[in-house]
Amino acid sequence: MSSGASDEQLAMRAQKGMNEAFLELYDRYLTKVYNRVKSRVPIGDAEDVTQDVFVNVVRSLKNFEQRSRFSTWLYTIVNRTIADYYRKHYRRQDDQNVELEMDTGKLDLPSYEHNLLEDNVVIHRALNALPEHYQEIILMRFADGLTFREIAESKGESLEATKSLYRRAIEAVRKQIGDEQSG
Amino acid sequence: MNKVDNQYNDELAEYTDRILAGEDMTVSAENRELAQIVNQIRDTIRPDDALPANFRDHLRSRLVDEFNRSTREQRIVQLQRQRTIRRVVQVAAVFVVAGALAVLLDSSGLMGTAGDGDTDVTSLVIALAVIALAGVAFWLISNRAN
Repeated sequence: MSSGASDEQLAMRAQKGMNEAFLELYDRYLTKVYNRVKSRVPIGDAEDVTQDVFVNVVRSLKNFEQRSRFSTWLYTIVNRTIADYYRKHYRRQDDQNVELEMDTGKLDLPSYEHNLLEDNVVIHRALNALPEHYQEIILMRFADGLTFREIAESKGESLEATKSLYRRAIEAVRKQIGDEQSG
Repeated sequence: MNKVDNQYNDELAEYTDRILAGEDMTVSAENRELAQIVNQIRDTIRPDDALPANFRDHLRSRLVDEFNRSTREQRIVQLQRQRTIRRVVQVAAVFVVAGALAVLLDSSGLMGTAGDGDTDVTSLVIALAVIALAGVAFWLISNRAN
């Protein structure tokens, strides 16, 4: 049941050891975090990485200062955990060319699913290579499910500027995919 | 930003809204390629997919354990810090009392360097006051640490 408290108030209560407050934050953010993770790591690893994110949140909660918004702090942890995931992944793969463990040729899947997985890998790579402000607006719309108006309000920008930034972000994804395919 | 740019920005934003709502929409030639990218992103993120069964509950119980362990560890660290502070205060109190006693003994002539009468009384009062203050401070800090 939601308490109606702000994220920051809940974080403060959780810092004092109230696990109900932490669980309310968990309920508020689980789907958003999972969607963000899913957009940037292979689906097979999304649950593990999501779990790592929340474990990191528990361990770092005492360091959260009320100066920033809780969501900003949380998404920083999401980004850091995803970066750790890729660091470990690259180390595991030694010097081999990393295929994000999604070498679809090794999987026994119908061809349309092969194509879907290939598309996913391409999008993961493109999103991971984008500048942060482009990644952020795409994730806010797709992973967090915010409307363009809500995104504009949260960023303190006009709706017009938000839509313009969004289009530039999508263009950047297209360019990234084009560069990868030509390179 | 000109009017035409705004029009394309609006169109792509509307296309995204429609696609995410499960509807379809035709876009202008300028946005066609970008619309395909939007489709690919939607197919990758699949925001409407439900979380895998049991994942929410499993993670929840794992986090409750982690949260309780973390809270316990923090309390232990806090207690250790309080104990350290208490020891520092105890050592400081011993030095203060020893210093005050030295002044007291000196002014009462027991150390062989007796002064005049007025100075003796003043030193005695100051020394007793310091001992009393050190005692009160020690008691307050010890109580707070407990």
